Amino acid sequence: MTINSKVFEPGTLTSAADANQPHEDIVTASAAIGADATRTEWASFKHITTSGKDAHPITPYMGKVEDATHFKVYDNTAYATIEGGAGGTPMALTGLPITLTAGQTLRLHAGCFVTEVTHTDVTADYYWFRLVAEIAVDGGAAGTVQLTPDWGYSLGSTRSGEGFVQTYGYQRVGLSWVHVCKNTEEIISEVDFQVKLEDASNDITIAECHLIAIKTTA
Amino acid sequence: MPYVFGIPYVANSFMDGDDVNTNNEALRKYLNKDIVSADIADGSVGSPEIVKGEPQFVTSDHQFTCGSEANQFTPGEDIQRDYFTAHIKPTLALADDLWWALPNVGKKVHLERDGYILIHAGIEVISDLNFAMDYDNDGSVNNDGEGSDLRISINGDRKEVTYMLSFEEEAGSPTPSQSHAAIAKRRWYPISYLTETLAAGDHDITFVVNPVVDMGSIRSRNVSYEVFYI
Repeated sequence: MTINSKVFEPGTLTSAADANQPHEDIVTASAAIGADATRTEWASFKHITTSGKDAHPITPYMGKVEDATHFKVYDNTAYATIEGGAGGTPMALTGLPITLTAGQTLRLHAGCFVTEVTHTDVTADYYWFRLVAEIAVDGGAAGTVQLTPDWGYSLGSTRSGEGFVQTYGYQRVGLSWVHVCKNTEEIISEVDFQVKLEDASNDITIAECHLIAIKTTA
Repeated sequence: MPYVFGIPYVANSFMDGDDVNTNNEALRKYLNKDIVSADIADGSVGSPEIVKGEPQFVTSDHQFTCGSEANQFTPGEDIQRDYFTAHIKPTLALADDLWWALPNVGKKVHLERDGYILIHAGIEVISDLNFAMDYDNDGSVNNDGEGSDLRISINGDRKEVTYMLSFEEEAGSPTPSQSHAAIAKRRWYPISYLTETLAAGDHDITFVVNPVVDMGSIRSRNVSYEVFYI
């Protein structure tokens, strides 16, 4: 509604009705101002609630990020949790535990920077990553659950050991997975990003690594 | 909140100056400060509003349904091939002192608060037809491990940990002896990287290459930037 202004000519007597009119127009117009915001860019993240039943449907849980100066060499043939640097603590998510109810999903992204590698035994040069979690199902005791398949890589271009064998290092590994809660309730107290090698004579060095879990409640 | 008309004027009565001032002041205050019904209080928007889908129009590229996300996607048509070359370097074509920002994958991301950006990207990289993108451009093995790099640049800082190349090493059956770094001459390179904490404000993110070949190119690419606030 447009609020008009009345222009009075010099010498014209104004009336109470004329003087009241703009105010009454605003009373009428402002009564129609609703709570629905229709303007674009009306909301920012500040407006999104983080609690209650209508909370923001996205809840991220971060693993720490390390820079290239924090690295560790791995030659283990059984799965071991990737740590934040040599002698560092295992990379852990913040804000745990994560509580999932039936149908809720947990989107997981993990990545690391594989740098130097030692490729001694070219006939046993596979290595794998995986994500495991400690999950308590429906009020039970927490148990270790492998969330993902074994994500396999190889250090070399061939496995025969014959002729020219190329070795691959210095590249990022990026892994994603979606976990769906099929139980009434799952309480996830820990998520680990793990690695193992096929043979201990080989090794890989891992620098920057990250792990992020994103809970979707909607 | 609707406007309340405080002192209506009455016919056949003198208009009092104080009443006029009071009404004018009330109107000024209402217009400047008190129209609040349409204001959205902090922490008041929940999942029902978000799932409706309107937030797509909040700003371009924003989708609250999966974090604040911005995407770049270019299909792999020949016409959209973008080239890069070592000839951008005035001298020393094999040096790594001049980097080329890959077209149509960069983004300026605005953070409302301090946060992280999760970067997922896939880029099809094509080197000279018969050469890997190694530093002497003949596919041979070299010792010093220098070569074309693809990295993510954040505010001009080319992160070493965002290498996308493969490192090739001659095993020498079985003892490794020589090595060099190279991007294979034609491959889809994926990358996943979570930034360090970034301060509120604008951040320029680009993918850069240190070209050491005469003619390389990229074709299809798909990049997503997902923002998570602390």
